[in-house]
Amino acid sequence: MAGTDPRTTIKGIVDAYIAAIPIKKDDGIVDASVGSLWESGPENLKYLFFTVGYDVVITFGEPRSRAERRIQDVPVHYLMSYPFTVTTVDKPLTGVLVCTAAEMQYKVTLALRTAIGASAQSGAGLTPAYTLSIQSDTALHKRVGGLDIWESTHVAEYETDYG
Amino acid sequence: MATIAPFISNAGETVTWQQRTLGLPDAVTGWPAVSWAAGGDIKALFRKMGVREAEPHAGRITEVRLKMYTYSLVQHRDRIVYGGQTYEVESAPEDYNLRGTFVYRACILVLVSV
Repeated sequence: MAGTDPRTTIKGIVDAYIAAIPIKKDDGIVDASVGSLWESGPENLKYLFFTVGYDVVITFGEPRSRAERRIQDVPVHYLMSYPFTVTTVDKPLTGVLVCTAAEMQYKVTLALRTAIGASAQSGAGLTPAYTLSIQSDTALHKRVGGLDIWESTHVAEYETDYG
Repeated sequence: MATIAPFISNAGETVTWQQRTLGLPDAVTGWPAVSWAAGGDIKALFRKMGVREAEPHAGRITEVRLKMYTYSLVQHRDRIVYGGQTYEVESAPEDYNLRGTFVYRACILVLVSV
């Protein structure tokens, strides 16, 4: 059975939305550079933020899933939780912040909620059909490796009737 | 031994000490703007503390730590340029005194250079 990995589907939805409506830097004018990657990549964070130059990195993680059949004689359907994490760091340029990490986080959260909301249901006739929603957001700040990191993990629930 | 300063001065390496200063609050976060002075030379001895690989969601990050011994009064979050790399004073410095007289200061540095 052919099917698109839901992680690819979610990443595609997010990528298309951000390409169409870019996230802005602190000035509200210049587009922020957004990296969209699968989680657990080999890259070093300092490389991503300061050599490649991303202002925001979105990583798509591994899912948890469970089967559900609420009543008998109804087909089993599957609930899959796909976490994706938005990582930002303060990006100063000649001493002035051009991307405040905390502010960038909220801009991206708003964009993600809109993007996922706009694609909450698969298109007509698409196989597999799915329903998508953001179930939770968890934000934290930590200092690792001489870098202040802000992370927000959003969990998208992907519900479908295929295995 | 009245002081260890001559030993650090002779055997230590010359590094750049960049003192941290706080400025006006950021309009968004309310946090004071942080800047580091261009810096001046000091003498210090170093010991490797180890390297750790942390794995936040977005990738990997290498934490490199050194312990620095100096008689200069470096402060928490000041920066040290050593071997072409910039380090930050990660822990509050500890002073060592002998018979009530300051002898040397030790602190842990973490690599911040890209």
